Formats: sequence, C-alpha cells, structure tokens
Amino acid sequence: MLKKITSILLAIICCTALVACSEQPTNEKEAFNPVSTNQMNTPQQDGYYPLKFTIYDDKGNEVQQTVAEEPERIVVIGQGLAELMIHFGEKDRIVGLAYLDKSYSQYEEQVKQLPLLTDTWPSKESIIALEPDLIVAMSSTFTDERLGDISFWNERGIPVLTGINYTMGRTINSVFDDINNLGMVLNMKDKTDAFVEDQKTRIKVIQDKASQSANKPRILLFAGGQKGTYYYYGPTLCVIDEMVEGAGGEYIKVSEDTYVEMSTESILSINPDKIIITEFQKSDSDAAKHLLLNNSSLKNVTAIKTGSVMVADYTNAIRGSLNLADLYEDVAEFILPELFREE
Amino acid sequence: MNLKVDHVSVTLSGADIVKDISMKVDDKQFVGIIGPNGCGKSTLLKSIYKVIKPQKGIVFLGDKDVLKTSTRAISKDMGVVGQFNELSFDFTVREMVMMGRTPHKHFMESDNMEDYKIAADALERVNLAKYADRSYLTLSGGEKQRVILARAIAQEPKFLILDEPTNHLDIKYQLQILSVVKSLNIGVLAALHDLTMASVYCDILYVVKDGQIIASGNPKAVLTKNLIRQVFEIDCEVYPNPITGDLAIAYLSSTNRC
Amino acid sequence: MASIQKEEQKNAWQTFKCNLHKQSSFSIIFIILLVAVVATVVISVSIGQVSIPFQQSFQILIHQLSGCQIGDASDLVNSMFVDIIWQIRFPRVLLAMIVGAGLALCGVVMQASVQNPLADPYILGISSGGALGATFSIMLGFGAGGMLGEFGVATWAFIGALSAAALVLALASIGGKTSSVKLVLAGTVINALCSASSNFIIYFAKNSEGIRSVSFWTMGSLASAEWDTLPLVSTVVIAAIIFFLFQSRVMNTMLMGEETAITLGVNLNFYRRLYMVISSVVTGVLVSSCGIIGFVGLIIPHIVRSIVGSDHKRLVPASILFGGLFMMWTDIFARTVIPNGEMPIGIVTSLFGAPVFMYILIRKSYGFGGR
Repeated sequence: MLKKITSILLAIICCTALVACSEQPTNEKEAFNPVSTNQMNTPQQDGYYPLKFTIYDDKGNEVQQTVAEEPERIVVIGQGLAELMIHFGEKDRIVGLAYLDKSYSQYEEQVKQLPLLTDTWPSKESIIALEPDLIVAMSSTFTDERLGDISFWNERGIPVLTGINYTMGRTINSVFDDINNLGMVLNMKDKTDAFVEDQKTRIKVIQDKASQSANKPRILLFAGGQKGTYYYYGPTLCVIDEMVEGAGGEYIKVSEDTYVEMSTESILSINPDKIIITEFQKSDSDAAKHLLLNNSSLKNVTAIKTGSVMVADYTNAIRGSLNLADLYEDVAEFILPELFREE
Repeated sequence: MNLKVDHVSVTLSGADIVKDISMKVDDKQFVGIIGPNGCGKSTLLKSIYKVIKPQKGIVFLGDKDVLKTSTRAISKDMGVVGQFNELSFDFTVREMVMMGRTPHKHFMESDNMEDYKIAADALERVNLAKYADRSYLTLSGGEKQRVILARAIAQEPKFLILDEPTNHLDIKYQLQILSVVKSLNIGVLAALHDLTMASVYCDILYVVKDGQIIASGNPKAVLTKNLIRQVFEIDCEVYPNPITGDLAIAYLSSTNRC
Repeated sequence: MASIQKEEQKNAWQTFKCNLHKQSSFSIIFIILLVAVVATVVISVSIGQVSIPFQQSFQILIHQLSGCQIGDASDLVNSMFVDIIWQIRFPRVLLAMIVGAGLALCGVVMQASVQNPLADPYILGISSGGALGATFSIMLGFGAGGMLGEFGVATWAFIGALSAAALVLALASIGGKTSSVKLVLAGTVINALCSASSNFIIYFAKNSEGIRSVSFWTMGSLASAEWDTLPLVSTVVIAAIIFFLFQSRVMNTMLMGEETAITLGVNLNFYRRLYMVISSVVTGVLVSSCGIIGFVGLIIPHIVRSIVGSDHKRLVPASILFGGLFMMWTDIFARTVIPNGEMPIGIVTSLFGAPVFMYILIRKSYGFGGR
C-alpha cells in the first residue's frame, strides 16, 4: 500500500512539474534572445544591415530571415558552402564547420585548417556553444533529427542562410544563386558578382559555339558505379545535364524518376553515343574508366566501342562547385571534340 | 453448496464429446467420475468450471446459473484443481498459494495478515509448509500438484472440482490428497482414475464412456466385474478386501487365466 | 488442540513477518531506484558535449524549476548555458526517463498478456506499423502539401502503429478465442506485411534523402525532445503507469495460464484485450515521437525480474524506475560518444542490452523470476 501511495505521489509530482514547466518556455524564449554577444563597436556600414532576405527550406517553402549586423561568427554546415567562403576570402569568419564531403576537393588543405565540429551532422548543443551570429547550411540540415527547425535558431537570434537545396533542384543557376546569396548576406556582392559574370561569360561562349553544330551526340550519365551498379541521375539531381545540353549534346532522360539503377540491358537498349561517369576520388577515375570500357556485356554499346567515356568529378557534376565553367569546358570538348578541341 | 448438471452436451471441433450428461452433487458429498481416457470426463468438468462453453445444458452451483454468472462470482464459491500447470514464469510456492485469494480481493485491496494465514494453513494441509519459499518450477510434479491444491484450498471454496488430482503422486500423497479433500467437508466432484481409491473416498460414482453415463450410484453397487469389462475392456474380479473391508479389484491378464 | 492452534498462529505470524521482511527489502530497493533516478536526472543534465560545471548546471536547474537562487547569481546570467541546460538537455533527459519507463512498462504488460517471456511492446506489429506510417509520410508526403503535409510524420506513425495493432488483434480473434499463440503468429504476419509495404514504398519512391530520413527514424532518436511535445507523451505514459500499478493481481493471474485464470475468477480475454489496447496506445505514442527504440521493452522486465521476482506488485514499479534509469544512461552515452555529434539511441540500447541479457541467460539459475 505504501508503495502504491509513493508511486502515486511521485506521478502527481511529475505531472504537475511537467505542466508547470511547459508553461515557462514561452516566457523563457523571449527572455533570452541573445543578440550576438560580440557586439560590434563600429556602427552598421552605410545602413546595409539589418538585411532582410528570403531563403527556401528543405520542403521548398519560403522563409524570411533577417541579419542584424555583419556576421562575424559563422557556422558552416556543408563543405561546398565552406569552399565558397574560402574562395571569396571570408574563411576567417568561420567559427565552426561540419559535414564534409568524402570526395576530392582542391580546397582540401584549407578546409583542414578550419575549426571542425564533426564531419557528419553536428548537435544543437555544440553549435549553441559557439555563439554564432549566422548559420550557413545545406537546406537538408534543418530536419528534426539534425538541427531542428529554422525557427529554433531564429528564436535564439541566429539567422540562417540555406543553400545546396536538392528539393528545389540542382541547376547551374541555383549554384550561382548560392554564390550570390552568400555575397549579399556577407556584404561582398562585388566579389561574387564578378565571379559569376566570368563564369557566365565562359559558358555563353560554349553555348554559342555549340549552337553551330548540326551533330547532337546522345550522352548518358552514370553516377555511383560501385562494383558494376550504375545509377542514372535525372536533371533535377545534377547540374551536368545542363552542361551536356548547352555544349551541344542530348542528355538522355532514362526515366521520369529522379534516379534509377540501370541494368546492363537498359544500357544496351539505350545505346548512347558517349558516356560520362562520375567518381568521388580523382585517383579512382582511371580505374572506373577501365572497368567500364572492359565490361564485356557492354562491348557493343557505341560509346564503349568508340572508347567515348569521360570521368567527371562527382561533386562538381552533381552538386556543382566553383569550377562549373571548367567542367563545362571539359564536357564541351568531350562531346564535340571537333568543334572545341582547336581552342 | 450443491451442484446440478442438467443435460449438458459439448461438441468440440465437430465431434460430440459429451452427450447429454446429467449429474448432481449434494452439499458435502464426494462424487467421483471414472471412465477410460478420452471418455469426456475432463471436457465435462471444463464445461462446468467455465473453460469450455457447452452447446446444450444448464449447470447450477447452489442457486447460481453457472453458465450465466460471471467467472468472478463463481470463483468465490468454486475451486478447481486441474491439470494445467505449465508455467514459463517462476513464483515462490507462497506466492502461488496466495493467488488463491484473488477472487475475494477487491480492486485496490492488498494482501493482509488474514490472507497470509489462510495461505499458510492451506500449505500446512498439503504438508508443504516448509516449501513456502521454494521456487515453484523447481518442485517435482507431485509437489506442484499439491501446491495447486493448496491454492484451491486458499480460495476457501464451498465446492471443489478435481481433474485427476492424483497423477504423479506417491501413494502416500495420493492418500493424503484425497483425505485432505474429504476432510474439507464441502461438495466435491472429482475425475479419478484409480478405481479402488474412487470406491473408498467417493459417496457416489458416475461411470462415463464415450461421453455418456453408463452407470451411477454407490461405488460398491456400481463397480461390478461386468461393468468394468464393459467400460474398461479388461477382465477382473471384484471382492471385498479381507483387511480393510473396502472394495478390491483383481485384474486378470491373459497369463493369469486358467 | 490449543497448542496446535498456537503453533499454527506462530507459523502464520512468522510467515507474515518474513513477507514483511521481503517487503522491506523491496522497499529499500525501490527507494534506491527512486534516488538513483533523481540523481541521474541531475547528472544527465550536466553531461554533454559542451562542458558545463556540475555546480552550475545544478544551480540553473533549481533556478528554472523553482525560481530560487542558490549560490552565485551571476552564473545564471550566462544565457547560453541556461539555454543548453533548460531548452535542450532537460527536456531530453525527461523524455528519456518517460520513454524508458513507458517501454519497460509495456514490456511487462505484454509479457504478462501473452504469457511469453519473449514478448516485447512491439509484438503486435506496432514497430513495423509505425515504421510504415513514417515511411509513408516521409517518402510520399515529402514536400507535398494538402492533407499529407498537414499531418506530419509523428501522426502518420501513430496511425500506422495503431492500425497494425488493430489488425493483429482482429486476426488473432478470428475463429473464436484469442490465445497467446495466435497473437504472436498474427503479430508476425502483420510485421512481415508492414515491412514489405515499407520497402515497397522506399524502393519505388526514389528519394534518397527520404530514405536516409526513414533509416534514421527507424533507429530511434530522442533528438526531437522539446517542451512543447513533452506534455502529451508524459501524460499518456503516466496515466498508463497509474493504471497498471493497480493491475498487479490480474497480471499475476494471467501468468498462470488461461484456464487457471478462469478458475480464479479473472476474465482473461477481457483484461488481455484491455491491456493490449492500452499498451498499443502508449507504445504508439512513444514510437511516433521517438522512432523505434528496441530491446528496452524486452530486457528490462527480465533484468528486474531476476532481482525482485515475478510478482507484479514489485515488478511493475521496479521496471518503470529501472527502465527510466537505463534510458537516461544510454542517452548520455548516445549524446557524448561522437564528438559534437549524436548516435541514434536505438543502436545504443541494443548494443548495451544484448550483452547484459546474455549475462543473465548464462547465469544458469535464471528461471524467469525464480531464485
């Protein structure tokens, strides 16, 4: 009997405590809305800040964000976004980095020098402890099991800039948007605008040239490719499709789905003129090409017969990177060598 | 409390196991059911203590219609010692016996000293008082059976049903069990397999074969050589035991016949 | 005659005292567990990847709970610490405690209802049903508006869990009485059906991000703990706890088997159904908030049984406390093992639980509660 009474009392205490406590947080949240603890002594430059802008969350919805002052303590989640910051000289503002690619990157050394939280998804605690004033992250970061909702961070006075949004689809323009957004939020639009201009100019040159060609080779893209399984990626999932089309090729749409595992039979029936495969590591590209060219079941495919296989860097081809124009030029050369190789 | 069974029939999986059986047990009477295996004794008992629902018939315990009354109400008056004693979980002997108090306890009532006394008495009666703290699963088959009887006794029933309670028991305990049951001085309906014991302890005997009552009445009158041959398909001689005066049976196997 | 009666009286009194002694030894265990739970809550809150001195976290906790300040007031101003302790860690620790208690309770209840020591809260297809609901919501509702988007993963998981349980109960009662064997078999069937359907959706929906979400969800995680969601889960679990604390007698009787239960006046079918419905609701709520956290419901009852025995008067309260304790400690581990990251808690519970259970089994004296 005593036990039962104790248990009941315990339960009642727990209940009341939880109910009482759950009343509090709404007050608490307003109470500590820490504006950046690093108060800037210099006044806001030319009224540029506070800056309002729109981002897209992982479901594709628009979210308004406000940056009160020029961000000095930035947490970056996603190596691609960190590389943007490195390239535009803003790496000193990074106080924490998480989620690294496992693939080749020319910024390898510099990324290593950044303060790393973890190479996968970080915990909320560890980010709060850094007291950032801006989070720059892949849109897929803001789910319940990772960093929570964007509003969670806004409540703490931390604005969010999202990028690399696969829900909205990866296109060359979206890569440029990421760069432009970064430029806008960090008040370095001049640098980013110049970069994007340059990239666009080079791309236009290729497109103009390609439009002169009557020939339109059919190109098939594989991603992955471990141990003989080949995945086709649809246009929304990668940027290289636009490069193929812009450089005078036809990007074979295998299916309406975003990605499909290809069987040998389907490759044979599609019979592409040329094949592009992607690899995570530069070092593996020869092996990958070799494997494909020597695949006996595929030996009658036109691309294999003529040896027209190109290996592209996975990150650049799928997600896009700062080297878009370089890859574009490589793809153009591969697709219409007679037109582009004389350059 | 008395028991009345009226024209009960039970069909299981399409087969008629119990075919229109009627019997009664008066208050404080010890009634036995005998018959070969598969004759329907167990099924009949199960339909009386509400494990199986009979297709036809009425059962009255005292003035309660058993089939229409809740199991809880019935269990306050009727205790059962059955053959279903396989457990995957372990309890102490005392805990097992204490469960017999369940029908009498209310929702929030916990066990009091009265309950412990009743349980201790019950254990004493079956001569297992020293085993109170032993784990039930470590007991022998016979000891387990006695614990189950103690549990039924702890129920303080006004009527007791026994389904072959003397299986697995040493002769000492077979006699003891039946004496204990007899000494409870309540109505008892028991399915027994030992004909001699049945004749010693039972006031009335019902003989069942193929789901029907072949004979009933005083054991000495019922257990004749012809009946035994008809029901059990063996030859024997029935005679009064020269030492005790009770009924004795000599089984004649083919090698014994002259 | 009188002396025999006196002898009997003495025996009875000794027995009663002996039991009281057992009661008091159990009371000691119970109090120890209670103290351990409270201590663990306080300790848990101060452990994490960000090192906050124990003293500070204790002060912050007391301040937030009661408004009174102990010690140096200036420490409480550091809003970052307060934020971490109060907004992130404390709700999570409480959630861990509630989930552990709830799963352990449902484990005890299911093992009694099915009379099978291998039962756990998920045998009625709740885990696979919940997973199916979650998969459906994540893969097909992903980015979709309208009704699918409205409901959210948690709601769909709950719907899935309860539908599966309802199917199992219905299936098992076809053809008359619901026996434990039929329940377990029906559970197996529905489990297989739900798993196959989940896999079907995953394979054809072609959403790699979604697949990762689903995979994470099925591993179980307490990361979503926050003050807003805590009241619902805790109310459900606490209500169930209070209910089952009064059902010890019935649960003991259930273990005796169908026939014995009837002879002792317990309408087994009714209670079994009632318990399974309640357990399904509780487990459904837990699964929809935290994903599938395995092993707790299965082993905690066994561990506790080997200490306090099978009597549910003791088993239920002890399992609840021990379950809460276990969960809080595994959560501490899950939160701290990866620097600045987190491991899904379902992985940790199985990793910890399995060896413990092995140890129990190897101790040959283990007789599902015997000594």
